[in-house]
Amino acid sequence: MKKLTLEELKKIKEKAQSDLQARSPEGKDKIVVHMGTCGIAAGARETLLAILDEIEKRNLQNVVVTQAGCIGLCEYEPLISVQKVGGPKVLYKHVTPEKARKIIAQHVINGQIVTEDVLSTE
Amino acid sequence: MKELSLHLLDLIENSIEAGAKNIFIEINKNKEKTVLRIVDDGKGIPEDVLRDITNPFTTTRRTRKVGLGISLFNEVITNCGGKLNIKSKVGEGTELISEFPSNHIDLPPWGNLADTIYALIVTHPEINFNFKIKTEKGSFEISTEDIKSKLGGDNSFFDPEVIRFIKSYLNQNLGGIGI
Ligand code: FES
Repeated sequence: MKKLTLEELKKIKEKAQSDLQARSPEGKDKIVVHMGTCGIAAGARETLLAILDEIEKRNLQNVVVTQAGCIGLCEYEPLISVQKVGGPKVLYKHVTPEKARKIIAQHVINGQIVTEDVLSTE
Repeated sequence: MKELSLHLLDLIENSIEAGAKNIFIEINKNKEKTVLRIVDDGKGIPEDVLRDITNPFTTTRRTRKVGLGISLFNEVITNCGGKLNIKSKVGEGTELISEFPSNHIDLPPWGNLADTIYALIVTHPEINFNFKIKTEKGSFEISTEDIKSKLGGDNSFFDPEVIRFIKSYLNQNLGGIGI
């Protein structure tokens, strides 16, 4: 396989010019993955990768994923929070890659909170 | 942590937590030894904290979450005969340099370095990362500024197509240099 070069990214941009312009993070659903030391040790990177994978595969245009630091709740790591536009901010605990995929399908896409994994709601 | 690439992710998270805007990461690995260098322009670590940052008894306290990862990493590499050096100036930034044998029996494998870089780059568009990785098999370099300029200065490159591209780009280009 021919190796990808960064030049090819330009083509992606040109192709998607119109939606690149609409790429401001406001007005998008937000997912935050907590990346403290315990989070990473508990598998937060794999959780984050599963989230990115779902976004990529399902072509979710309206979601932004960011990372945040530790919030001092080591025993519940990996932790992620999900906030849909206009909805509450929901903190999920012990988010394995499998749970993350479920949260995307059920909460992010269908708007139904996955209650059994919720740690708190704001 | 099972992989050095997870330690690396954690160390870089410290820089981010310290408010760094530019983070330079260099890995130089040959048959005998590996040198890892992380330079950031974050707020720096005060001297008294720096003095015992590698000590797990002072850094695992709940009140000091940043640093726990440094002591874990320090423990791993000193067990392999490696060493860790941190220079920091409050208000200027921090430089971490670590040198350790590349193939010590107790050294965790690098694991998926591409995943660590990918995870960092796509979720922190506000930070300029510059990764330089060199092994006997070749070298690889990526900077977020390059990506941004290819995207026309776009600052929020969170888009399914863009993240897909970055992921394959990293896997293909980093795969060949064997780390
Ligand atoms: S994740 Fe922050 S102290 Fe445990």
